[in-house]
Amino acid sequence: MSHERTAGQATPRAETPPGAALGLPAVDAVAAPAEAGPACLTCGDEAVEVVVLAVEEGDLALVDTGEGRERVSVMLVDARVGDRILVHAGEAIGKVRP
Amino acid sequence: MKYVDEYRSPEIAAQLSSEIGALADGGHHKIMEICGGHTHTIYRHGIEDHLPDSIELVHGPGCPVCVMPMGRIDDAIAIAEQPDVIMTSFGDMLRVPGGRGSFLDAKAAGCDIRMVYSPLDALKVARTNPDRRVVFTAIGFETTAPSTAATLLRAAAEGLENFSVFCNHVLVCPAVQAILDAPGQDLDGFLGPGHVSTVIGAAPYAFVARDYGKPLVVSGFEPLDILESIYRLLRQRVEGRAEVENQYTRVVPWEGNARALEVIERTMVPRDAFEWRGLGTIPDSALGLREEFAAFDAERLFDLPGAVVEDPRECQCDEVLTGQIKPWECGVFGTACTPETPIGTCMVSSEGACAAYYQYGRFNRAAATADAGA
Repeated sequence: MSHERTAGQATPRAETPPGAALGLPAVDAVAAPAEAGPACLTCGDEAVEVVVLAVEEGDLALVDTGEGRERVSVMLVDARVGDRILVHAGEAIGKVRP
Repeated sequence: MKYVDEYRSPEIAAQLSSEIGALADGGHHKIMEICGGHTHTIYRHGIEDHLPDSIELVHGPGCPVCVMPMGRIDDAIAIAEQPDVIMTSFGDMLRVPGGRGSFLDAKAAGCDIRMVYSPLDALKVARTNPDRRVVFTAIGFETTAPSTAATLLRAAAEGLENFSVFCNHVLVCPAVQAILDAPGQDLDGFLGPGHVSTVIGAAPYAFVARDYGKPLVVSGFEPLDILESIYRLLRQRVEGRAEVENQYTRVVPWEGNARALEVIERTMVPRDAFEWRGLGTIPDSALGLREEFAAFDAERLFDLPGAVVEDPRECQCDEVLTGQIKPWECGVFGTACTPETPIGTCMVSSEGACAAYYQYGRFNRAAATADAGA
């Protein structure tokens, strides 16, 4: 199966945002945050709250899931570095109030 | 860990539990948790062990995998069987049985079916396979609809011609209304879904309180969130109120996420009707793609059987989904139907009521009570 996932693998570091290098709209590596336990991906639990490490071009952001780094879409929220955001299916749908 | 430790404090749980006990005294309270995520939390953390017997939790239809009718699975497989197609979907979908087997069965028979973690992953598959037609089977409530919508907008902006969506997004409020309209319905209140409400807000549930006189509390997913929400529901009942409250204010704005609603609105329209497993056909309860996105609409691009397929006779998912029976009361629970070889959808996703019971050993309630708090 040629399924690809970036979770747990080496992801580009925040200081070298790949969005800039790749240009729009090439979303090269997008994955849902790592799941803690057997939870359904379509309706999240606490594991989908992540912290924004870097905001990148193309409405993308590099986030810290607590278990690794992932790239998610932030088209629908105003994401800033340090924000805790709620991600569903690779898309941030809300911000967690500090 | 932030938002984990402070929402799992045993001391606060005990305090809430005793206050719930005092409020619940002398009555019977039948509360439905709409969202499968809540079902999962309730069984994972043994919440029922901390509630008095007078509180009965009923599992609602809020697991999108569980409410997928078999005919739609057959339609998706018919698409996957086209020789140039790569079918993509969430992992939970792969084991859902249709009338002719599941995605996994179709994969074993030679179809190219791939698991993705987001529709953006499916988009990437489309980019890297320009000579194939890549279809994403989209499921989910208003939580995942924004992700599909945003992906459609990205695909359109890129001019991707080999990507399409088989849209099965469903809407939570019409399902709640169908449950409230069902004959013999005797629910006393609802735990409202947390993450759906991040998108739609708490306001759309107003009809539950206004038209049906039932309280609804939008709840978070940690154990203390659930306990506090149950406490708030009971307090409403004791005080004779029926209102919509938002317990999950750290994530859910009352008005929802306007931008997420806007991308859904731009790409999708409500269908006249949609079949739900266990609930039947519900008007205006699902989303299809807008005419402007016809080029990305698998339903328009492929010939679909579109058949209505009856659930297996031995499956009692419909009764589980409407709260008439508990999972362990189903005739095939844990015997013919297990998470490895599910007969019904409730046993497929870990958010399904049956799978949650099965996973956490809740079919033996006495034993589970004994080791509660471990």
